[in-house]
Amino acid sequence: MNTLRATLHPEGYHGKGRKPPFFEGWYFKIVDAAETHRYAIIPGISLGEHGDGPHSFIQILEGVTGETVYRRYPVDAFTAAETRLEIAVGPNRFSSREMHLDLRGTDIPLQGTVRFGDLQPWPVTWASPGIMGWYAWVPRMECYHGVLSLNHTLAGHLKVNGSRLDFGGGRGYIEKDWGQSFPSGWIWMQTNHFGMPGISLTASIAMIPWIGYTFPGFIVGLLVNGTLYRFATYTGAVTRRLEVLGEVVDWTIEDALYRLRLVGHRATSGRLRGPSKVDMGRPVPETMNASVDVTLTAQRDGTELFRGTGRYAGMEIAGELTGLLA
Amino acid sequence: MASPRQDIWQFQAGLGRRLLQWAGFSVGSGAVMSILGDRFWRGAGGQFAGWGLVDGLIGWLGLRGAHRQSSIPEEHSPARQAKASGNLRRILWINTGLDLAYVTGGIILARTKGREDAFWRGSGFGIAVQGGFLLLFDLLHALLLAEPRSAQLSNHAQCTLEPR
Repeated sequence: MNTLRATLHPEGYHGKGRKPPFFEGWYFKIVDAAETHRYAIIPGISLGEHGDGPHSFIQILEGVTGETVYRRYPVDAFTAAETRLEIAVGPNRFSSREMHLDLRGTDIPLQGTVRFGDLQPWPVTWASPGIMGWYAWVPRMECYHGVLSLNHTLAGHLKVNGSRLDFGGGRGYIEKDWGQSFPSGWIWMQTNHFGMPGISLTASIAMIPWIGYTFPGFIVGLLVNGTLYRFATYTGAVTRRLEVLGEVVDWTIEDALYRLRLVGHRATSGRLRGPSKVDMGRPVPETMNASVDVTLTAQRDGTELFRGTGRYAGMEIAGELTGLLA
Repeated sequence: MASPRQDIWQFQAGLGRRLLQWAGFSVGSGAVMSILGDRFWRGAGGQFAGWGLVDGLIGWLGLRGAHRQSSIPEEHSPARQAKASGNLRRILWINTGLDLAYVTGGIILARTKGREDAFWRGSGFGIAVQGGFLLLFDLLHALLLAEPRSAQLSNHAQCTLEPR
């Protein structure tokens, strides 16, 4: 019953009763209306037995400079609901309505409350409980992924080093990962800053170990005017081309109806810490300064259905990529 | 703002593809039953093959329609997507009711004419199996087209996010 409930609630905490190694982290991206301040704030917990030991944490990525902070807390400073988005790590609180930060004493001493409005979660149904599709029902996968809001509005402000940063009218994005470890290699891109509001892209491909073999699995969602276009291994879509050439990622995906081309341009990265089966010591280079050119065309006659460039894209290219490229 | 709605043409194409797969299985297995089986299995095989051909035609038409509509930019507007979703959902619910009638009809055939003749018993069995599959198929897809659970969460969040 707990598994049923947990699978149908990707937003909740999945670690109750889990044996190490286990991690769970929620990723909150916020960008102000002027697009001059952007942060990724990642509360989470790591239950590794070795390495740096069990603890909870908050990581911050300052999106403009790439500066990062990893603030460690004891395990008992972490609480999280199992069927809704409600997390506390020390004095910091996160929910589907707002996040309240008190990170005084760190190198990025954010303090204040940012409220969220009009969340647009990836649809959850019994047959397809979130972005992982029916794979969400498969037990013992290395890493699970959830998208809790593809795009939402922000209100409120944060203080940092005496400056007041107003996030009113800004835009946010929330996703999460949980499981034993990040994959051996992956590429991830996300942006919800296109020429028009209401457009959002999340795309990732990773090496997935499953029943004794490993395959490159991908999940891509493009939200345009309230319609979600899904391309995933489990929907029968295929990667026609994936190349990483210098700072450029060129990825073309096709299904029976559409061709989606994503051209990502990497930029200066910060270094976050990601989970391995041992601890949170795995370096994860991430930028929030990338851009992604997105083109959606119809397979039937090549009609262009959407074209746009997403700014302030989060992008990670990490680990062993050989098996991913096509 | 509403929770994202899955592109209806991708949904319809997936539905058509899965129905074609079932049709292929039905025609193939129906042919084998008809050729190798006794009188009961010839009755069942004839139904499998016949229903498979009809399912295949419906699946192909659905796939072709999705292909055509997906290439028209106007068919991607929120209003058009919502209307097409509603139409497909209605068709699936009507079919679910019809499928129940097929299953019932198949069972009745097997228990009436099938008492005396294995061929009709097999035919009734074939109709009930095909109808049963379609019942699950249509019901599942109708439910998948219903408002997802997260939409309620999103709406709830909206309600509680009014300015304080």
